[in-house]
Amino acid sequence: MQRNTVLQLIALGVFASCVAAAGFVSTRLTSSSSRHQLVYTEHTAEGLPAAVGLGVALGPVRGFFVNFLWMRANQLKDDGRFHEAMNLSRAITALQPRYPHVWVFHAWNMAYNISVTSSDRHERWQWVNNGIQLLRNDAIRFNNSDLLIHKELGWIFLHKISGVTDDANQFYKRELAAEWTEVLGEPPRLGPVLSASLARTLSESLRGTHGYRLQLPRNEGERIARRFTSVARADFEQTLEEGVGPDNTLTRRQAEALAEMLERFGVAGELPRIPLSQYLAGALYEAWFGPVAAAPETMAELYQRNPQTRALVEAIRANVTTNLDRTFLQRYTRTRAIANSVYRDRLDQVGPRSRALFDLVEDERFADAWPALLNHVRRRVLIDHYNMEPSRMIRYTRRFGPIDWRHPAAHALYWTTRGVELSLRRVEDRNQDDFDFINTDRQVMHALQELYRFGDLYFSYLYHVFPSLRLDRGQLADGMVIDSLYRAVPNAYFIDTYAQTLEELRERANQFGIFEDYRRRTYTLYSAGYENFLKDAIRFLYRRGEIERANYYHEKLITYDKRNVHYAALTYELATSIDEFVREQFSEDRFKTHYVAVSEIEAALQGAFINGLLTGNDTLFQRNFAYARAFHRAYVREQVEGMDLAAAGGRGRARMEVVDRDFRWVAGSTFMDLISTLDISDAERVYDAAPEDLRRFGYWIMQREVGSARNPEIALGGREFNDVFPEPPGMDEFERWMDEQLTRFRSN
Amino acid sequence: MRLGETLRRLDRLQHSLGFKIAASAVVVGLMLFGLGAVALDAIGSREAVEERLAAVEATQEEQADGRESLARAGDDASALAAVQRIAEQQDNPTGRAFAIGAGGFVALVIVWLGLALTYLGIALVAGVVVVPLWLFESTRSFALIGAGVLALSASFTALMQFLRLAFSGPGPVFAIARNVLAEAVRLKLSLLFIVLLVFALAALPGLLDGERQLRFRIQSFLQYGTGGAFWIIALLTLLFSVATVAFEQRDKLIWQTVTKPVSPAKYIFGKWLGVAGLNAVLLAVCASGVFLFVEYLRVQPAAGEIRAFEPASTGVLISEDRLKLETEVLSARVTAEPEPPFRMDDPGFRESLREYIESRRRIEPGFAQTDAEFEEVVRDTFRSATVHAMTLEPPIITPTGAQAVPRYFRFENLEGARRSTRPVTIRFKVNSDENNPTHFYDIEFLFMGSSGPFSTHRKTAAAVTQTMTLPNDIIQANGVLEFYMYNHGRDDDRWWETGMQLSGPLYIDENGGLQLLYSVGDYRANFMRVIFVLWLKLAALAMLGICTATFLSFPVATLVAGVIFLSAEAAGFLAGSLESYRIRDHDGNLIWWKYVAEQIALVISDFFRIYASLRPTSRLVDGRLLSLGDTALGLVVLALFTLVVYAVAVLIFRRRELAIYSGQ
Repeated sequence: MQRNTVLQLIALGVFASCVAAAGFVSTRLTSSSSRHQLVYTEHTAEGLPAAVGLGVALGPVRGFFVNFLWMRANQLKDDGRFHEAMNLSRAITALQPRYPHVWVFHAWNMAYNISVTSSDRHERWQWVNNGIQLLRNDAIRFNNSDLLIHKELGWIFLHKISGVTDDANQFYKRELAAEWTEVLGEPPRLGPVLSASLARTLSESLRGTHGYRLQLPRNEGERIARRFTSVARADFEQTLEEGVGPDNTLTRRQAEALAEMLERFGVAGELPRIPLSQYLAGALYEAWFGPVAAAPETMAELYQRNPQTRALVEAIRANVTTNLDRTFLQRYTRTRAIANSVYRDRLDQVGPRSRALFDLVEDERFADAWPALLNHVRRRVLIDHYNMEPSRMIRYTRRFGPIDWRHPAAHALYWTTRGVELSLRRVEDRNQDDFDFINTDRQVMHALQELYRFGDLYFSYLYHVFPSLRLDRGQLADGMVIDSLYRAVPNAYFIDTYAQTLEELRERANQFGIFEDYRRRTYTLYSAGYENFLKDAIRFLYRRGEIERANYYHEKLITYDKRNVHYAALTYELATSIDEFVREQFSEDRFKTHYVAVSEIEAALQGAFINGLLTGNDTLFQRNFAYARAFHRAYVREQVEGMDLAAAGGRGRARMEVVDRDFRWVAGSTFMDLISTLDISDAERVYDAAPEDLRRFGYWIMQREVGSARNPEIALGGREFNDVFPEPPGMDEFERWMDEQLTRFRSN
Repeated sequence: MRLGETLRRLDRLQHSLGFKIAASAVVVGLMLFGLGAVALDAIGSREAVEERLAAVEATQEEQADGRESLARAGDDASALAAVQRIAEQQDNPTGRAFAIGAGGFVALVIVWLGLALTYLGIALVAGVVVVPLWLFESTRSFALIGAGVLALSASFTALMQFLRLAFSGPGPVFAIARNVLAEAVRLKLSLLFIVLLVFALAALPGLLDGERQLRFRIQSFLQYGTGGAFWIIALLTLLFSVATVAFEQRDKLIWQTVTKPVSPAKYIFGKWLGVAGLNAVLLAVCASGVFLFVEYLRVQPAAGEIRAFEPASTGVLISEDRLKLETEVLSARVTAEPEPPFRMDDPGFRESLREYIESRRRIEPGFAQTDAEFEEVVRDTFRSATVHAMTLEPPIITPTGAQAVPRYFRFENLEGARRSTRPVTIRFKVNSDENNPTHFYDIEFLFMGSSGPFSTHRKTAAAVTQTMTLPNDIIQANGVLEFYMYNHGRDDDRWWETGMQLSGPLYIDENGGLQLLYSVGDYRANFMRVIFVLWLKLAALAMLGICTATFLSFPVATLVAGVIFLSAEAAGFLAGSLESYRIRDHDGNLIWWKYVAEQIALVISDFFRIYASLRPTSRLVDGRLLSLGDTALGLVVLALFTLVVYAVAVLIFRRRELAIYSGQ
């Protein structure tokens, strides 16, 4: 063999060895680079932005250049030259999109530093929203599983919007609520019992009418059925003999039978009083959101599933807009809001496109096409505009409960939970210090706590988007100034969710350290948080008159085996009667805390109305009502009246003014919220039992909700409005007072 | 008739005197017509503004939000006057008049250069390309860039021709300068930068984020339009000034010059004149573009406006974006600092210090024996007193609640600001012990203004500069501004629940931590001064480049001149960095290499101190005044620097033997 041939063979051998070695290590390299977030996206097929190409083109200079930009951006921020700092941050994120700290710096700058330089609420909100969008729409697309970015995004929702530290927090909350009313529509109103409209939602979902079929556990179905008479539930019970569906859920026939029963008695107005359980509340939200999550992915698929939508889409594109996106949903929601309000007659003054949209909404030919189209557009907007996953949203609804996406804590919960879930896939022993699971999980708990404290939302979309009821093309109502109502009150359906999630997270925290290990520490934050949470929940339920549930949680608090043991006497202090326990809670200055104030006043009023008026127990009503008034007085005196100088830019609303300073308004608005969520028979009962002043509130809202409806007799069971809700004396004066109040809200 | 012949005849026509006179008459006529239209429009606009102001004035008593955007301060008359002052910008015809004047001047130059028909033809061809692009949404940005490039290129070439005319005088200096100009458009190196500059400036408006507040858009445009143009021209100047001398030597072209009776002084001066002239043309083109586009942006709707200067909300005098734009960006403001509690040379202070030292010596006999030691004690004591005077103590917890502690501040000599109708700006930055960005502090200001006490709160994070725009009636009639600042503590300080206070003191840096800014002039005049200073810098750089090229090769000369230029530009940053640069380790031992680095940095920062303090672009973007005094100082320093470098260059050049005839 010639020498050259030998050399060639050796070279070939070396080459083959290298290829084999490369094949061996490349798999490990790929997985390692993914785990250490050294790839632009998790899927290599996704295209890289042009800026990444620029970064690559800069070669070794890029690091130096980015360092320089980073130093300068920091300096500019310190000097208050935010506009330039932002430009530089944008350049850095373009050059190094996988450097999470820059995204966070950039978003923080906008949401926290720049926003507070302006006293204009709209401008402030724009900056806060810009910060959110940057993380949600850009940073997370490049760093899909980065925990820090998810945590910071959750923090902005939780601290900046849901918290009260920013003067303009009330405005942020309204803006977010308006935005998500447009994106998803208004969620179901959960009252204490299953109303006819909720029964219809549940029934449709059990049947899968809108493309999504709810899987209800068999025991929950039976619990509902037990409320009906044996005759009424006979058909359903007959189906029970056929066994259960997967995961102990109802079979299709059982679900159909239950749906039939709910619908038949709901329409007939003979629906029994079925208290909403935590599970049922979540299921109703799932039933509401499910059709969006299950909507077709593409227009072609939509046309295939529902051919009528093609004509509707063509009509919209010809007369309204060519873009079926976020702005379309906004226009639709606004038009509907006007059309469904007492200002319906003003529709002739809106612009031609909105008018055309309204005509299409009213067109009977498209009655079935509209829900299908809207669900599809909502789904696309969630994915394309908000970078959110509908399937994940519905999974979280199932897991956590009735999440109202208009609430900032809902988004905090979504993003922090998502961050943790995705990061867990990348963590291993050697890199676990890079992941701050404990603090992110704590944020999850805070979000759940917020949803309990303020997760039941009453928001008037119409008056927020049309503060003067003014549309783009002129005044709808000259001089009419009404501001939006935003009442965030405790949502008791999250009490159990908190406990369940806490244990899951504690389990995880123990894997990453001993901070939350109750066996090795006398004091853990999780235990302390849960103890406080339970105390609040007990007080709330007690005030609301749910003594049995309050006792249950009181018992749970006393026997809680993971309780902090640094204060041994606590066991004895807790081991009292429920009455004493609640009384003892106020030996401290608890009434100074804003969420306690909301919880106490709201619960006492709800207790007064539901357990007092609805059940005809006047003593309970008087007791709870007097308590709410006294608590309100104490809070306002301490936290509102003396704090006017700290008001948001002198607008007359103190930062801690989470409840209005006028108790008449607080009680009246709570009454309005409640009565408008009840079925007519219950609403009538509460109305009749209420004192005169509250009846004026009730009359005012019911006249607008029911009296001005196109066919009020359907809702009123064929009776006249004034027969069901007789007009109380002094309504003229009351109307003037209401106008003043609503004007006051606007100026605030 | 053939096309070539037609073109030749047209060329002869545009060079004829009769055509030039007729064309000039047309241009002047159009200018007069344009100026008249602007004046009429201004009158109509003024009436509209007055009507709106009158309407606002009439209803403001009924409007709770009447002075919302003026930080809810002072009396309404003062707020209205301030707004009126701003609203006058709406009908200010200066920008449009300047555009007509500049356009007319360029057109006259073109006419008298005999290029009127040529440019008209180019404009027609450009129109054929640009207009169709403009008609479609997707290509509109290209149309804008194309139109921008054409306008800037036309202005540049016309002004270059004009400069050539200006340099057409006799003598070697002008001849060399003319050659430099010719070289500038011939040399690929300089041409590249000129093209880059024109394209960058034309594309810049399209890069502005339309969603962003107007003030930020304008700030960004000023920053990148002026600063970016300066840096591109500076790079061009650096390379071209070196190249024009170094390449002549390398390619032996210099023989043709130095073998003639041209003194080194004239040669160097001629070269410098050419480069400085080129700089002037480029800066004039860029500055005009930036100025006109800023004027255009200024009359666009700001955030919270339905039309320019017209707030969307009824009863609001002015949108916040507009207010800040007009008072903090398009303005020429000066800075006032608070009066110290006492002066270092205050006799009372020194006397009490002497007493303190006497008493201290009874315990420690060797304490502050020498004059130097005494002065050190004076300095230390004064410093700690100043720090104390700028510290906002945390609230005191009393049985009835938290009590904030007042800190008094006084600004003097503000008569000018009080007389003016323009709002003033308070700029402040607080530091806490930890400067944690998640902590927010509630700061209250209680102003003792001419309309009585008035209080406002600001929420701020530590180490972040904040500004407040307020009516000037917070200043008393005697030109004194007095106010108290209160630290109400951290937002999340729930001391009543925890029994433990989290809020600590807040510190205001005595150097620039608290300032009052007020407007003393127009942004337009400030802009002109800024451009002039930028040209001075470029002219100095040109001389530096020429000087280094007299004895160094192109790459080395570029490197040397570049390092000196960058050192000068970075001197301010260097001086700031040196404040926190430590040359000793934890045990107090000197680290020798750090010491050397510090000494070099000190020399650089001291040498270029005045140059660095000019900061023309930063001042323009921040709406800070570049005063005539500062401009004159800059002129003197830079002229002196240029002269010295010129002298050095001449001396070196004289000693160079550039054209030796070897006889072979």
